Amino acid sequence: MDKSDIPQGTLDLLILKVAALGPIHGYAIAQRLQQVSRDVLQVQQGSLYPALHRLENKGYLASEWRESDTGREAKFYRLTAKGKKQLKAEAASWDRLIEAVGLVMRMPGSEGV
Amino acid sequence: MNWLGRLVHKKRLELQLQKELQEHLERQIADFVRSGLSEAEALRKARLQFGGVEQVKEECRDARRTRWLESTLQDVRFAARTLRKNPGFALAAICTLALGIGANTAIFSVINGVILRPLPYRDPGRLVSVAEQLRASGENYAFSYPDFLDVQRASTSFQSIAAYRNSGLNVTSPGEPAYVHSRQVSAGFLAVLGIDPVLGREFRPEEDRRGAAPVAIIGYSFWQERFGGSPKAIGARLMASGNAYTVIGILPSNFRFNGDRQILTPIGQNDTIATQKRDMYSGIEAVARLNPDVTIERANSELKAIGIRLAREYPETNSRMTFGAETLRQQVVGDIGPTLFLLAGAVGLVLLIACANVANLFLARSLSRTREFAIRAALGAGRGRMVRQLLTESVLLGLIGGTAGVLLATAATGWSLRHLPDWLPRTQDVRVDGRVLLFALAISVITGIVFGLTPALRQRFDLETGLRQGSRGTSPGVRRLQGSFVVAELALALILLTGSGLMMRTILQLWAVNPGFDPHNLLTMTVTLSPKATSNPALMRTAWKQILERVRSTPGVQAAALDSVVPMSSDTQSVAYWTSPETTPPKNAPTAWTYTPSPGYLRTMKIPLLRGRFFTDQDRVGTQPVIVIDETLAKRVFPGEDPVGKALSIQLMGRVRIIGVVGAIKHHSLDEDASGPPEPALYVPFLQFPDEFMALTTNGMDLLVRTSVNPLSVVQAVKQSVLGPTRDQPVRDLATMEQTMGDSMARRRGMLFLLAIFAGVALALASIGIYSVISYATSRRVQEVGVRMALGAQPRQVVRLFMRQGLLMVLIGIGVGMAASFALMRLMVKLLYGVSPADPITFSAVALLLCAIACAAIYVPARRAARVDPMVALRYE
Repeated sequence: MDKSDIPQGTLDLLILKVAALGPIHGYAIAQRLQQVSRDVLQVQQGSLYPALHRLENKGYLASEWRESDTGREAKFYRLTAKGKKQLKAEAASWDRLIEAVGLVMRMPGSEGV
Repeated sequence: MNWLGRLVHKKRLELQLQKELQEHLERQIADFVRSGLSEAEALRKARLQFGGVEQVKEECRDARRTRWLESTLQDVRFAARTLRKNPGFALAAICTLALGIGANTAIFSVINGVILRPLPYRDPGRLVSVAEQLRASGENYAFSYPDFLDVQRASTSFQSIAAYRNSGLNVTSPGEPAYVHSRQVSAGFLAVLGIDPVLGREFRPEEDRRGAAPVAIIGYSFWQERFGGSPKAIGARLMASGNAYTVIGILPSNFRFNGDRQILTPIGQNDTIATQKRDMYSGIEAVARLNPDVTIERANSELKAIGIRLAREYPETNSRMTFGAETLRQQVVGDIGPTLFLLAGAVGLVLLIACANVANLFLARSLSRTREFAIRAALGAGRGRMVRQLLTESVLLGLIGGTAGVLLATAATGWSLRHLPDWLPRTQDVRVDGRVLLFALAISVITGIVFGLTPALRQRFDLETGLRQGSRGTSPGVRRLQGSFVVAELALALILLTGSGLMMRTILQLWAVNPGFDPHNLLTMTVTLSPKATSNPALMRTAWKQILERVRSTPGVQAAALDSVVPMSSDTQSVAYWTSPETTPPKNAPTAWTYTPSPGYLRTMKIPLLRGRFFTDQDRVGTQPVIVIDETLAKRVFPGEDPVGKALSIQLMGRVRIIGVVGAIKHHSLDEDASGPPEPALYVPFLQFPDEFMALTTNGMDLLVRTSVNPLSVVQAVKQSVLGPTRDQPVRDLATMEQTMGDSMARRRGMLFLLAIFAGVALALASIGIYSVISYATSRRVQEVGVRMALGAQPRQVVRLFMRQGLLMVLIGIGVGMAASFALMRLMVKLLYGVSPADPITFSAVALLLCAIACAAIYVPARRAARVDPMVALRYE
């Protein structure tokens, strides 16, 4: 299967979704996204970290430094109450978008083209 | 963390960012190694996948949204460093700006205090000043007390109205005996203004009545000085002018109303003729608070109606009179507005010159920074970013200069309000408050942008010429720009010089005016009789006579006389006169300045006697009532006739015989002929004052002393002579006539003083401006000069070369400045006297002065350039 870049604007939503499962550090977020999407979604570090910092500064994520599985300190991000609300709103609007796009794509009469 | 926190903890954030990215990379490498890659291969692949670490970092930093501030702080730090590296440049710019911004801040603080700030009373917009007026001319008059009481009773426009009359008391205890300025006020005076006493209460209506027990409200500083600020002062005894007052209230420390009066007494307790007669206008004024729904126009029409009713009721006294109100603000601030705005314009010019000067400094420096900016451009700085950097520098300078300016302004206003003649109302309200600081901040920033923008936009940022040209040579564009700055500075300085020149000519013209008497060696003062001498009119007349005799025999005294009003002081006294024998003034009876001198007055004042005779000791109570008139009155009433021996009727005195005609004098100011035809005057003999009027002299008569020596040298001796055997007749308001005349020009002198300072600053700045431009031009052309001299040019020719360049600027500047002055000086016409706003003498004098100083400023650097050794010059740089 081809690898896809993540569409503009959806990275934030994906990060929030992953962080909703519990405190997690940046590398793990990238790994998790890749695994869950069965290697379809490829996260560029160049956009992952700026996005994390942006979400943190907006107050959707909170961070703390703690010991990770390797024994070294890592920065763990966790979803805040504000972030939860944001995730809910964005997920709903994402569902609506998918449904709408789906409706358009299933329009009859286009198969023959 | 908010953005401020992110800014403050920047260092920590940076470390954490580094650590976070490092951690990511290491995990990636570990994962790759685990999947079977060699260590080196894993490192390479991880790096490749991660991309540019610095770029990621930058983007994370951007996410902090503190970028704009960080780069501004960076600019400020860089600007501060640049300025520190050039202390001479920075100091020159800061001093120039401090002068410009300081002068503007000072004048604004005055405008703010005098005009913009509300009067310091409760709801001051509803306060009005009410006065009795001449119906014919609308001219304000003092109230007669019975008229005031009628207005107070009849008017419905006012929530409250109170009368006040300035007076004075000889306080004898507690504390040292002294004359204290006091004020007689209606009950409710403080309530009208909305002022509460800090302690005690104000007068009640039952205390504001004849025969009530004497009570007093005292001022804060009086309370501190004489009662030690003790609350026991309420109910305490105050002995003054033979009465025992009970203190019932204390005024707030900052309370001022038309001057500072430290004792208030109820006006209704005044039982002298001053308040008893309907045609005595003895300095009573009134202040009132409008009802909430009443406009001043409605109040005025009601007052006019009351005036007509009173004229019908009391035709013998009130047929000529009516009443009117103006806002209290109008009364307090008066017509000072245009004068202050003129000053604001003047300091605005100073600031413009300062801007031009600093812009020139910046321009000169921008050339030597061409290489620096070329390198920065090569390193990727955008033009906008570099303009911003330059503007940061200039705004920083503006702010530093502004801070120094505010300090300068505070010191200068404080000093000049204390030391300049009293020419401004409300000086106690002039201070640096939030609004003044805001103003200073605004003009500092605007100034910084104004003088910084042109040089910043002119700065060359292109790499090639920048690096090639280095810091040598001048571009003709910059030279032209510098030249036009200098031209503007000279023109602006010329405007200010012309203004102060015209002001100076005005003052000189005024001093040359003949006042009609001899103001040299003339001493004036106010004398109060001993309380022991005031029990009856005969005793008082004797006491006055004795004072005069003692003073006349004092060494150094040529002549002395008493009078009720000193000419050229702010006091006025006038009565109506008419020729018919009726006992009351006809409706449109004109008024004349009135003096009540003792015999010897003409000799003391040196006023010429034109016809008949002056008063003698024989013209006293019981003999035929006589007056002396001045030539203006003689011409007006008896044109072509000899008035001596004729009869005239005057208000309060009735039918009197004219015994003499004297020369006309100036009554209140030397320029009074500019505001209308000469006003007539008449002299009533003090010795014929009826008994009932003698009580009015208790508060003091003016004593005029003609000396044969410097008048200030006999002051002590005269004071001793007046003090008398009982040693309780102090003098006050002592001044030489020349001082009094000077004070009558206070506003013009204040203007001259300030304009002269501003013009001086402008001249200095403009000279520095032209000096630095020429020095700069010479230093840029050292090599050229060297070549010329090596080829045989004489130093004289080199000097001439630079002089020509400078003189052209000077001449254009003077031309522009003259044209602008010609247009602008018309604004000053009200302040001028005896000199046209286009006065050719002033214009040519200031042009010559400016030209001379500018030439000197050009000559110095030109001369220096010509002295340069050709060999040194050629090797230069």
